[in-house]
Order: sequence, then structure tokens, then C-alpha cells
Amino acid sequence: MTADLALAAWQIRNEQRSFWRNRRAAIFSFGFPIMLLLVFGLLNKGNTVDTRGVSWETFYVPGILAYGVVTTAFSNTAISFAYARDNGVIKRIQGTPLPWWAYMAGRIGSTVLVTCAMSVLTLAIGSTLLGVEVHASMVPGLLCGLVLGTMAFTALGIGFVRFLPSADTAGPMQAFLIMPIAFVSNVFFPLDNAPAWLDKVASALSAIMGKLGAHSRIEAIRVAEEKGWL
Amino acid sequence: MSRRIQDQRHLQRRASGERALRERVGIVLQSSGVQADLTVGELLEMYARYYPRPLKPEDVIELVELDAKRDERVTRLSGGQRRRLDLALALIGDPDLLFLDEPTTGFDPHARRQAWAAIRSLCSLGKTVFLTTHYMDEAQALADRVAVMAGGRLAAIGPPAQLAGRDSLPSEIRFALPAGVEPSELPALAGDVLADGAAVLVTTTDSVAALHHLTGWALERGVPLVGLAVSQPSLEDVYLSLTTEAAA
Repeated sequence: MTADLALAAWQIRNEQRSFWRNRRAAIFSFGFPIMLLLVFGLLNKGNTVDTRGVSWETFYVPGILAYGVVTTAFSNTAISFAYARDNGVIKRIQGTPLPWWAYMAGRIGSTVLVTCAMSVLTLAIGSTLLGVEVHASMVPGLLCGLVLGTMAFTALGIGFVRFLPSADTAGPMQAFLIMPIAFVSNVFFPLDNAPAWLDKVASALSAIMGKLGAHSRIEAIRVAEEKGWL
Repeated sequence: MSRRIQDQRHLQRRASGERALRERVGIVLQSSGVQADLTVGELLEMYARYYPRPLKPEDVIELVELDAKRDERVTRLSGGQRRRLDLALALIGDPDLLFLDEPTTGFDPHARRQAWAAIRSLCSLGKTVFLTTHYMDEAQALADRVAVMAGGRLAAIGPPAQLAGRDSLPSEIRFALPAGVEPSELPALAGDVLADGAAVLVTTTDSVAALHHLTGWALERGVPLVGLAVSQPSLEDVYLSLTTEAAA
């Protein structure tokens, strides 16, 4: 059993290597949210979100953070898993003695590492470049949400592959699913004055994606913000 | 113990049995991807860890002649190098049984001979190789036993020389009809004689006697027998007759 745990750790290491070497995946899931944060944050810097009484930078940091976690954990997992299925990596792995759970542990563990790195970078950019206050008391909650959220979204991403006829469709299909959720979950701008039906759609979507989904986590961070913790 | 727990235990036992099986098996599929952003050396190291008694990655890289590509990413390998990497990954666990699915499809004749030599050396190491191929000369050259599949069923199995009674099938004698000789002037031979223009085909179960008569007659008449050849039905002939039967 300890030998198998070592195998799972070995898999995490190999998945990490693959992830960072694949520039397209790294840029898509890592660079894109950071770019959004910089563009949105710097464009609106110094102004206040009227409906909330917080600065735009403070509004964007947690939202983009959650969005980055979702693109990495859900979208990138779905895309790379679909490719691994289509080009036969999965088949090859299943012909080896590597236990299936160890392979999956490698995928999920590696994704958790990436989302943690991304959160650190987002918060670092937020607190330095954008001047958003980050309080140490938030870190344990953030870490819990991060690890659980990443695992949940990675699992969803793997499940989603079942509905992808081929890897080529993975990119557009995940965007079709994720973009509306990010939109109604207030990632890009607050929908505080949105019509009631959109609110219903948002809560329905977040119910579908589970309690650990983007909406709930963004809200948790936002509540903290409003109470002045963040 | 509840039924469900019993079932689970059974599944666990089966799963661990499967793992023990996979530790002794190497598989080269026709096309199966690898983690393409890793290098040859990294991949072999990675897969070696999955097995209890792996070979040394350096040794396997040398065996498949990829030494020069050890630090190259898979994306930068040529098609032939990819195939050799496939073989290396199948060998890394030092398997007792190796599955090769059409290993030489798309190879040039030189590369095929090299692959054959590699497969023979695997056999001489005491490994069992299970190879599928569409090339009958490949089966003839490599196999101790050949099985012919037709329509999803096993049509025949045996050593290549004796497959489907091949060794007791009539042999064929071919030659060109000498100039100025009519087919009717040929000596009486034990077997069927078929003249198609100048090409003559004799099908006989007693090739020694037929040849003796034929060459004796030619010497006596002082005529040449251009292109004289005696052949057993090839593995390809046997394959074709077996698969046509199955299709009929």
C-alpha cells in the first residue's frame, strides 16, 4: 500500500511535468485568468462597484481566482483527458500494472497543485499590483475551498469527457458550459440589478454544479469581503 | 458475510490477479499515444516504476536503438522512432508475454528485417511473443505456430509449414513451354497439366516423379525449360483458401 501511495506521488510528479511543458494547456488555464485579472483590475482600478461599495479590484480578485480554478480543474482536465482517451494514452496505461486509482490520484493531485499555485499568484498580483487587502485569517478557508473545489471540478471534468464525442470538441464544449456559469456567477461584472429570472438561472446552475461550485465559493469570499475581512 | 461484501472481495481478488497478470505482460498496440511532452528517457523511467522487476531504462533504450533520442520529447520523434519507443515501453517491465499488434505495418523492407531480428532476439530470451500480422511472409519467417482468423473465428492453427495440411497439399511445377512444342507433345505427367499460352502449370501430389519425367523428356528432346520452378502452396495460398472458405 505504501508502495502504491509512492506510485500515486510519482504520478503527480509526472503529470506536473507534462502540464508545465504543454505550453498551450499552461497558458490556457494559467495565463488566461491572470490576464483577465490584470486587464479588468487595472482598467477599473480606483473605482467603486456602486451596488456593493467595494472597489473593482476587490471585486475581481476572488471572482477571477474562482474562474481560474474552474478553467484548470474542469476545462483543462476535460480537454486533456479527452485527448488522452482519443490518442490511446488511457488504453496504454490500462495495459500496465499501474492501479487506476493511482493514475487518477496523479491527475487530481497535480491539478490541485496547479490551482494552489494559481491562487497564490492571483492573490500576489491582487495585493501588490492592484492593492487589494488579503487577510491571513482567510487562508485556511480559502485552502479548504481550493482543495475541495479543485477535486470536485476535476471529477466533473473527467465525467464531462463521457459526453465529448472527440477531443476536438472539448474546447468549445467546455466554454459553452463554463462561460455562462462564470457570467451569472458574477465573475466578469456584478449582476446585482439583473432580472429575477437570471438570478434563478444562476442559483439553479450553482445547484447543478454543487455546493462546492464557483458560485458558492465566490459568494463565500464576497460575504467575507462585505464583512470587511478581505 | 453479506452477498455484497463477498462480491466486493471477489472483485478485489480479481483486480489483484489482473495486476499480477499485467506485471508479466507487455503490449504494443497498433497506435497508442504516450504523454507526448515527456522525453524518451523520462517515459521509460516513469513506466519502469509500474513494474516490480523492471529492466534498466538505459538498457532498453539501447536495445531499441534510441540512445541518440533519450532526451528528445516524443513530439519530436519520427514515426519509426515512435514505434521503437512503443516497443521499449512494452519491454520495460521485462514481460514474459509480449503482444505485438501488426508491428511492421508501414515499415520499409530494411526496417522490417531489423524488426524481425529484434523479435527473434526476444524469443531467444525466452519470451513468448503473440504477434498479429497481415503479412504472410512475416508469419512464415517468425512464427513457431500460426493461427488464421477468418470472420472472427479460428480457421486453422499449426506450425506454418503444416498449417491446414499445407505439407500434404499438391505442389505446383511451373515452366515456359519450349518454342515449337505443342502442349499435346508434353509427356504424360502424374497430375493436372494446365497450359495458358506459353506458361505451363502442373499440379501434382508426386512432384518427384513428375519432375523426373519432365526433365528426362526435355533432355531427350534437347529443349530448355525456362523458369522451371517447384513450389509448395505458400502460406498466403493457404490463408486465401481458408478465408475464402470462411466467407463462402
